[in-house]
Amino acid sequence: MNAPAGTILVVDDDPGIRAITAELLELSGYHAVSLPDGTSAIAWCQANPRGAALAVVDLSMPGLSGTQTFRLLRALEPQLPVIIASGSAEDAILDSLPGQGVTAVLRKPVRGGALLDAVVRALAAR
Amino acid sequence: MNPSTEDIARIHRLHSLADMAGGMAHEFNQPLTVIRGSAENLLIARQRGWQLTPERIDDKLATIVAQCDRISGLIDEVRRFARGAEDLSPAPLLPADAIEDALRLGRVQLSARGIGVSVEDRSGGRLAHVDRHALADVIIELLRNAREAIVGSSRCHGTIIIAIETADAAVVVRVTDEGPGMDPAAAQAAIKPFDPRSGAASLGLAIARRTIETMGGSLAIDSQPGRGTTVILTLPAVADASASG
Repeated sequence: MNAPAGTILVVDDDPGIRAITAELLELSGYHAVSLPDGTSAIAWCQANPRGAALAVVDLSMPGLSGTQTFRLLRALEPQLPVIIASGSAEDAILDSLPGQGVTAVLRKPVRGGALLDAVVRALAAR
Repeated sequence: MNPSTEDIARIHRLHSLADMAGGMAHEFNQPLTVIRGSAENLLIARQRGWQLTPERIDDKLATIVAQCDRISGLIDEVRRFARGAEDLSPAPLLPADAIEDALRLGRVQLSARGIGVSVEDRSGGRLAHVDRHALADVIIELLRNAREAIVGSSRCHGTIIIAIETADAAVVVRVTDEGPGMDPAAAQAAIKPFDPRSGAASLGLAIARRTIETMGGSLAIDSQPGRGTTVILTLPAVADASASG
């Protein structure tokens, strides 16, 4: 409602988390696209080149993992900021993600304020 | 040193408990995530001065209430499962009598959905040693599952077959539906509490299994995708096969 428009992909296999995250982003003025897995996120980006301003991706998903999804998204959209959300991964895995080019890492349960701050920072740094 | 039979049984129980705890955590976490997120989104919207329509606020509050109800329902089921079957009074019984009790309660709901029930009693009047009300409750649960399987497969009509037979020292009741069936892993998971591989929305089958096992019987599922599902209750028969009642 008070933020610049932009499409943010919300990629999470948990429908509850997906809906809550998308709702918060919508309330704050973004256009959120909810996607249940990495494959559909890749398909969306292929169908909508440069259509996404940002992706928020769950780390642990059936099928493509969050890191695999991140790499494939970046192969399609080298400039796309990607925030990874994780509930259970080891610190060593999470700590390695920024070095691989992940824009930000958030631990689940993700606080709404922390998510919005990370989104604003990621979009401002583009 | 080889582990004893008791050791193996204990390890098996611990593994089952760990599986159940993991499944429970998952089941409770889902509605909690939605409750927390819905409440937090409302809070953030207020704190940041975002305008929310009354309909949107109502929708969020209704979501929170519904998810709390879901957790309450889960807790009730866990209590039922934990309580087990301590109040059972097994006695010689014609299983057909308990099945008739169940059908008296469930037939209207079944016929309203175009589902018929056929009871085929080939037990020759063999008595089982079970609690009548508990067996009726189990049959009601099985009828409900069968009904949902048939309705879920978009069939307007279907028949549930309840067959009663004898086998050695047991009376066997088979409840068969013409629903979509399930693969063997899902069938095994459906009778375990909070097994994540189960598509079951409740603990009903796990509670039914526990009830039957407490009475000295067993509950098994025979199912294949596309071939319907049969739940097999093996009930202890009374020793005197000539008794009637």
